[in-house]
Amino acid sequence: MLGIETSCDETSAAVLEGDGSPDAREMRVRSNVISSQVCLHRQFGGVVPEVASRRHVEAIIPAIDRALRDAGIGLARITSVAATYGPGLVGAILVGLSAAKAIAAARKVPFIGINHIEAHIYANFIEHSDLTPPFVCLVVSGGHTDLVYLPAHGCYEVMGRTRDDAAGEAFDKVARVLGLGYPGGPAVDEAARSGDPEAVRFPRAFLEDGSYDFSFSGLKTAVVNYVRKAKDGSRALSVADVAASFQEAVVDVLAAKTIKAAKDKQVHTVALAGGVAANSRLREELARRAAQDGIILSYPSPVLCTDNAAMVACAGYFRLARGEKSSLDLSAMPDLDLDH
Amino acid sequence: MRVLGIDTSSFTGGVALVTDDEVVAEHSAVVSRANSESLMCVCEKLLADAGWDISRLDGIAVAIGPGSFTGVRIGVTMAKALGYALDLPIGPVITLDAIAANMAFSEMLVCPLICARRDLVYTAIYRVSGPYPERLSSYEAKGIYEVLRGLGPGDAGGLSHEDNRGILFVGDGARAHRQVIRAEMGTKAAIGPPWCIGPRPSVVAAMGMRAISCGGAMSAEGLVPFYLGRSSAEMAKDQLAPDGRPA
Ligand SMILES: [Zn+2]
Repeated sequence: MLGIETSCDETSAAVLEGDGSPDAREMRVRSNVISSQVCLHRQFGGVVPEVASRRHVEAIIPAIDRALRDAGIGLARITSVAATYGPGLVGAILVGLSAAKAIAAARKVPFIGINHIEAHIYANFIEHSDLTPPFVCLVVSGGHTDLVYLPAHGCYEVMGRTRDDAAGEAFDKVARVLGLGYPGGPAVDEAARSGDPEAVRFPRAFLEDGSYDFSFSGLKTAVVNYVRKAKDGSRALSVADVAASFQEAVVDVLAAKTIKAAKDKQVHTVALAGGVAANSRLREELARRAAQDGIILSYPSPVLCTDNAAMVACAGYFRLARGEKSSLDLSAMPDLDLDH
Repeated sequence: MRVLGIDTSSFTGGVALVTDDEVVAEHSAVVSRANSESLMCVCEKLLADAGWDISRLDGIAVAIGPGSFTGVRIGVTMAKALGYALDLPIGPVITLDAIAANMAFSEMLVCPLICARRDLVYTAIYRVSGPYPERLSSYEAKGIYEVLRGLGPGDAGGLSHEDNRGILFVGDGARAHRQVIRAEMGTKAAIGPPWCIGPRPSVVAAMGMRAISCGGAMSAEGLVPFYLGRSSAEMAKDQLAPDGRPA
């Protein structure tokens, strides 16, 4: 299967091989080409839709060609095509979607449209063939913070979501305030390594009890104000301490709610997905708390956490194995929901 | 030579199958994002109607703009992917050229106008005395008054003496600005009929075929849209909200 992902600022193509069985015991990623536009958008401090879409058009064919060469096969060996059709930037999605439909039609093979968030969740299945639903998954990225329960393959119950900023956005904004650069996630993660997470007690928004929702704008504002007060009062500001303390506040809430959701749903497995799932502190803290309650934690390796086409091919593999297929007039849906 | 023509760059568009001397099948409709996205289905239907197998195509033709940024990208990406998957040459066609070609054997000079953002129009001036257009000016993105001033008699635009027969305006810009055109140029101007206003996929296919046979074919990797107008960096400044979040 050929996977294609262009919903934000990564042009990615991947080749995934499997025996076609529904439980996908022998699934192998033969290639996963990711041509990132991070340096292109760094000068703007954020992803610019028109710039991203233009770059996708230039990068899509080279990405597909390299994915096939890395996998050591020709297009003739491709038996199906999967591509993201939402959520994301509509102009960007349309490039990967148009390419996927054309290739599927040209090779006369099935095409399957994939939900970007579902793909993030399915990144877990690539390296953990023993992972099986039901489980609870925390999807955390620049655009999403969702707590999702999977009773079975392809079934999603969104238990909680963010009421304002996504966790990834909070990381990006704090990184900018601390002058740590773009993208913020890895920069804060790195800076926090040498910082004291208890240096500053930033607010943890647990919201009303029993709620699985998240809110990070209050925390973000608290950090911005703290930094400004330090600068105005010309007090010494330890970037590492602020980064570590901010990160701790985010991880605290994410981990607590994920474990609570797992207990409430009586599942003994929890998974992580999305770019922020690559955060070392989150993985460490969630693993610690899960172990305390005898819960197994699964997370993809960092390269599969951030946007990539292998995760799209993996989600596509499971849908095709269930006999699902999309028609070639599938529209891009920038606001596609998970339990759509 | 069997060519599949694709055009989603303008307000009307679609697909066509042509050979050297025949339009075998054509589907054209007012473009909306929805039907640009279902173009691959239309393609498959046309191929079936024509009894052509997709693998027996000899080339792909595609309008590469200027026009709607998203529309151009859908068509160009489709052409690139088909060209790559079927290992076929791709004939790029500038949308302004395709619209001008609607008025083959015209005695009047032909001026296509395509509505662009910020009330500009994409334009160029052509002589189409034969079947194919001959471009007399560079491609421009300008305001309508600026365009009309540039076409006035005896101006620096280098238009030769034969131009006193007036100018035939086509393209969605001609329709949008017809009052201004009539007010400024009176009998010197004519507006093309509705069936010639928009680019036609069969014309795009034929012109793309011509580009391929004259050595103007592009590879799937090399083909890029013809955006004309402001570069993406300039665009970026407007699209970025003050705090850096995409607008
Ligand atoms: Zn993502």
